[in-house]
Amino acid sequence: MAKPWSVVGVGLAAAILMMGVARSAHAQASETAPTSEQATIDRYCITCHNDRLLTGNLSFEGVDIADVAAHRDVWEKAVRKLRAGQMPPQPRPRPDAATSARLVSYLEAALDAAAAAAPDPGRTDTFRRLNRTEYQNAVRDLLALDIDVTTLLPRDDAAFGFDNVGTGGLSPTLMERYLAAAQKVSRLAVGAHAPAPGSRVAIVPVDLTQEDHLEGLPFGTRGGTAVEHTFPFDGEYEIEVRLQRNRNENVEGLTEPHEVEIMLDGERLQVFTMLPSENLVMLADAVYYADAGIDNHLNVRVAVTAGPHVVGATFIKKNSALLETTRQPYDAHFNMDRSPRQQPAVRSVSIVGPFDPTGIAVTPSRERIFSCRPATTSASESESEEAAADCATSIIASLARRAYRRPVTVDDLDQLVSFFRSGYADGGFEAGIETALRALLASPEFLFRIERDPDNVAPGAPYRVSDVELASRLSFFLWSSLPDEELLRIAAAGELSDGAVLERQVRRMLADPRAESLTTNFASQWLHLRNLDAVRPDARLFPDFDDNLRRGFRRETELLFQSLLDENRSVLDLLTADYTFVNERVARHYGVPNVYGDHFRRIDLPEGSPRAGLLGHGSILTVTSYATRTSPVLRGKWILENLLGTPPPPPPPNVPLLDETRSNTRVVSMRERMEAHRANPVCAACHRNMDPAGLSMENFDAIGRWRETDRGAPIDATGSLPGSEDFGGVAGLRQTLVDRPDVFATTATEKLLIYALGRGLAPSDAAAVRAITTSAADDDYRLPSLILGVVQSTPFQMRRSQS
Amino acid sequence: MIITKMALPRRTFLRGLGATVALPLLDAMVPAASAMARAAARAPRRLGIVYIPMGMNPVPWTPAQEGRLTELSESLSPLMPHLDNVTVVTNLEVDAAHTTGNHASANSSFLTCVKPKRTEGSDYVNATSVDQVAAQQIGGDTPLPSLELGTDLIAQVGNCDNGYACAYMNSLSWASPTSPNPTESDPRIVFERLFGDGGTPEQRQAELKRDKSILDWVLDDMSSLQKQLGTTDRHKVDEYLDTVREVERRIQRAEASTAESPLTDLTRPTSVPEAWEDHVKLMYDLQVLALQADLTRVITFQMAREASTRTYPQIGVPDPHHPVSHHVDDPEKLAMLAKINQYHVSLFAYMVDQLGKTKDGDGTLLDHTTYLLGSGLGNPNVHNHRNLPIVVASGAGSSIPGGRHVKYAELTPLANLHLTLLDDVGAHIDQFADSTGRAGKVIEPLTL
Repeated sequence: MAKPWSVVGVGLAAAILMMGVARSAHAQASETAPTSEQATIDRYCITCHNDRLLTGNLSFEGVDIADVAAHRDVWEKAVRKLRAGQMPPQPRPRPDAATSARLVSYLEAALDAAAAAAPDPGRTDTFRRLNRTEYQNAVRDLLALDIDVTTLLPRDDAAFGFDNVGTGGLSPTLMERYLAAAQKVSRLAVGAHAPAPGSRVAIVPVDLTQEDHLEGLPFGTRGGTAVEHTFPFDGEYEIEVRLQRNRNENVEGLTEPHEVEIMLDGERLQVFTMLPSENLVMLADAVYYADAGIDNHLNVRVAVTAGPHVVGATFIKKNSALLETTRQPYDAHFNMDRSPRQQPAVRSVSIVGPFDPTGIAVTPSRERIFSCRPATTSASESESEEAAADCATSIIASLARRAYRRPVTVDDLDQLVSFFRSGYADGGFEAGIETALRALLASPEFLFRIERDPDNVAPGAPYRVSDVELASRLSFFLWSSLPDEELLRIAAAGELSDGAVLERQVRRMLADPRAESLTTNFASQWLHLRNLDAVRPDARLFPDFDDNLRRGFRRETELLFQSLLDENRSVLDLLTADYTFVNERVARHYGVPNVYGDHFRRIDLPEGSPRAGLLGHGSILTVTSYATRTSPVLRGKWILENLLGTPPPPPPPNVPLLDETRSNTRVVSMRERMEAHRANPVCAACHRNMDPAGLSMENFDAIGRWRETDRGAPIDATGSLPGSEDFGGVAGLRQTLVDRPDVFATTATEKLLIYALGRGLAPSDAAAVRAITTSAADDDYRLPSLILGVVQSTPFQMRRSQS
Repeated sequence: MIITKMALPRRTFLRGLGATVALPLLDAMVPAASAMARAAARAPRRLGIVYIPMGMNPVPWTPAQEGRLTELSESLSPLMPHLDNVTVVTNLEVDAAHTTGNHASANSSFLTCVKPKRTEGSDYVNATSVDQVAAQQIGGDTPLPSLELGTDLIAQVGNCDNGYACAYMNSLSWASPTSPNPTESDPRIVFERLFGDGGTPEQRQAELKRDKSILDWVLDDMSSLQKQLGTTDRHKVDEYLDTVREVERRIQRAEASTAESPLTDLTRPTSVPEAWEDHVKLMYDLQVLALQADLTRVITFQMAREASTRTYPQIGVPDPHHPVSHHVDDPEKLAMLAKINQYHVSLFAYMVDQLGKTKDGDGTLLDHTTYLLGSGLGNPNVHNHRNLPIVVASGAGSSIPGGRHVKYAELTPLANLHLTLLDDVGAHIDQFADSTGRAGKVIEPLTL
């Protein structure tokens, strides 16, 4: 295999050792090194990278290695290529490992010194719109209101792997949606008037197996769903349950009587009996409609108070000897043809209302909002309006401070209070508050995080962001939401920039439940867990894949990431963890015995288990596969991009088209297929980096099951990483990755930094990445240390003014 | 906790209070409102564009006959009932779409015909798309100058295509070179954009008025913000100000139309149907409804997305579309690709059928609407953008006679056809991207 890793692998192993020295001895290195380093450049690099050829748009001519600070971008590019083992490319001669390592450590030391002397923090966008997730969390924290943001705002496009990057755009369509969202959210939070009846239908995924108890529902029940719903007003609501039907419109699995239970907040509302249809005439037409209307009676009408409630619909579990003894080949039961449901299942729960609205009770949102009530007086109308306005001003001041994430001004208040007055005139005090809230939620000060250059800073100069801006950077990084009052208070007092205070805040915030967004938002994008929802393995080849497994996979990986945060663990544990989290469904899929029930628990993995770390997680293995088969290309690309931080370069612009007239070639094994794939030298340039990495994971099939053979042939899971020696299977892959802890830690740092800053990284950020990673290395690369390092870094704390 | 998605199968799209209104949807939903009567009297011209991803298998796609058609090819056979409304055009290309991110550019260049700037960030550069040119010229009188629809709700993460931002893959329609129009796939949200939240006309008027006063205030706030910023950031605020003014204009038009044509209280669809086919049909129903009520005159619809790995077991294609499209001339894969092509065409035919059945003025909606169906990839196996699959559906009010296969001898820019389509709906420009003229053969009178 290629030798580039001789720099990165063996060479860099040595290089790393030396770098520890080099980094602590900047001065020495820069005094003695330049001559020999210049010689290395002259000998190995300048043949291509000169002013005439400008290969890769890079020239070392006139770039003095003794004065690294003068050309930081050039040298950062060089360091990155050298560290990744990409330069010089084959078949050009390469310096020996020690020489390369010396060059890298000299350059890094000099670059770090230059960055320390003249920091370039880069420039985050001035305007960053709250994206979907941030909007949802902001509403939750501002108004104590849970909303389903996917029904309110369009999807955000991702850039650099994260959907909080590049959110500066505002199309008219999007603005309309923010306006409409402001109206809906303010109505739901305040509820000044009874709304017209509305409906919501919660659909249970069609591939959810419901043969057993599901988490979130009471024990003694089977299948079903629990729907969290915010009821807009006190009144009567109709709750209607429908059962899953097969393509002939018959209720699935209804072969004997079953009992359906509808619940509100865990309390039984009503139990219904479902009897199998007596219409057994199997005539052509009759069979299709044998069950017509058979579940129409699954309705209750019930008085519900405003606010959040949980509506449940489930079955009472039976002890059916028949079901216990019928041995089933699959765990999944939703597929009429291959593994049909044994028992009926819930299809949908609809909630319609309010009918006969009676008023509005205490709700979490109203408790949060109405911190005062206007003093009731019998005085003149104008006096009572003034009393109302006084109270409204206090309510609005507190909402605006939190929503704008800064101390509010008299001017801010005046404008919002005028909205209150206009609403008050139309419909009284609560209508006034609702109107002011509606305006607040459409305000650019709420919808955009705005960072302004201070007046006294020269153009293009680095400056420290204000404490109030820093508070927002921090809360959106750690919580994907607004600062809380404590953070805002400290920032407003100008204390947040104090290092000790800042560190205390980071620790406090990481311990807060809101920090779960680092798992559900950051990690789920970094590791592509979000793509699981899109995964639809072919039901013919993988009849045992169902929604239970999809949810389980995602939960397993989320819990692993969360355990790193909660237990102050090394980020390397993502690769090596000797424990994981499973429920019965996932455990059976993995062949782990003695795990019963739908709830997740932590288990220790046996020595040498292929399931150790992310590389053995069904989530990762499935999102990197096609519906019908594994894809070494997708898996290899995922490893390069997300673990090594060296995404395969895009094809060169002059990539030739494949020969259209090529004869029909049938390839057999995956390995052969990949080799055919790499026959073209232009394609091979990238695929020889991607494919071998992916091939080492071939022992896992397209839904993450362990296998020794593929269509009868034994699997050869030999693989390699760019430039490494060959290794065997996923264990070898894991070991090779762990042998270079700094590479993975650097990738994790870069991903965190992109997410924290909401922008792609530039060469000028490399020094910060090195500083964070190096300092975390002393603490075993613990994830909280990396996060703290990001917060303390130059690009997070500073900003370059507009040039 | 079990998290459930909100969705509703098409058959229960309309939920009255406790009762389910039976299909057909359109009859149930369209009130006898004066807006429609007025629109019908004017019979405005409308333009629709439907995108299908990843090209086609050319053999079963291309009609054997040239010129006047008496029958359609296998892939196009679902359009046979509307043969006289169908123009098949072959040998068109989008040369600019040849990039290193061919799926992204197939989509983003289909209606712009320029090469998109390669970037993963939000500093994308494309061009104003042809639907937006039409919207500028013929969309002014309607509450929504244009409507952008899709079906893929799935938010993929990661790099979308070889260094090309996801916006290129997601948006067909570009309001300007730097502003992709977001694509909406949730039928309920589309419905609400078209018909609002419901309620009486007075209530809806009051809501619009409130929105307008909020926007006035947002404008003031942004203007004062602008004074605190440097030049580049001021330009950004200028863009925001334009956006807000545009929304204000839309609200004014909506106010006018609400005042003149009270729509009855409509119930909203709940969300995305489980089955993709139901979702597609619902999106087509909404298009017909929007055109019929003259709420918009320009629509783009991405029926499926480039590089989609959607499988189609319902038509006997259990393999994912994207790998199938890289067919390496394998007859099995080619056969599957043809099935997918035919299936997509059949769904398009569903809408053409609805247009043909819907009365509009002195004819049908199809008479006053021109729809383009096509893909930005020709041969998906090699990612080329030549000999694209292109079909135009049009009716009696169109300058395009239909019932014909126009086969260009040489590769001809798709931009030429775009110019002709613009002419056909009453929007005129001289030149579009790499156009070398108009697609005159498409409008030549038919000879026997």
